[in-house]
Amino acid sequence: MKDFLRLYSSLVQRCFEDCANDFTTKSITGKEETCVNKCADKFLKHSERVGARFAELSQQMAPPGQ
Amino acid sequence: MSMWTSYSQAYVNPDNLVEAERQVDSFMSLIVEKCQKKCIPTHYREGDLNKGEMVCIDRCVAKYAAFERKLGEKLQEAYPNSIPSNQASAQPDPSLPSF
Repeated sequence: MKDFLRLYSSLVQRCFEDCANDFTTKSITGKEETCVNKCADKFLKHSERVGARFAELSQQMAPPGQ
Repeated sequence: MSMWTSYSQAYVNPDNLVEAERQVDSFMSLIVEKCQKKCIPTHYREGDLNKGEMVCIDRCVAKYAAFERKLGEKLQEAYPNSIPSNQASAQPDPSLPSF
């Protein structure tokens, strides 16, 4: 649950920073919506890949037999 | 949530209050940082907020909340099992990237 919340928080921060650029309105514009959808997809795939590579690295660094 | 219903009683669990306060603080400081970056230019020609900056900040906070809602839905679509519907089955979700 904690991991999920951390993921959620990073996702919101990243995508808000990169996609929220139109402050003429309070709501999400069409352009921002497209950006946020792609940002979320990319961020999630990126996190999964980083996790996978990190797991590989950890396994390589662990002494043999563990 | 039990921390809110306890307000109606004479006794309030102080642990819940501390936790709630901590969460609000961290949430607030995030929004403060993000909206400052978006709305307040760094030349600092004056100390007061001008009308444009005030309007931008209002919209920024509302937009941040809208982004949170939208991204919460997206995340739920991507990882539907990660929010336990029943607290007793708190198993870590293997499909979720761990940090």
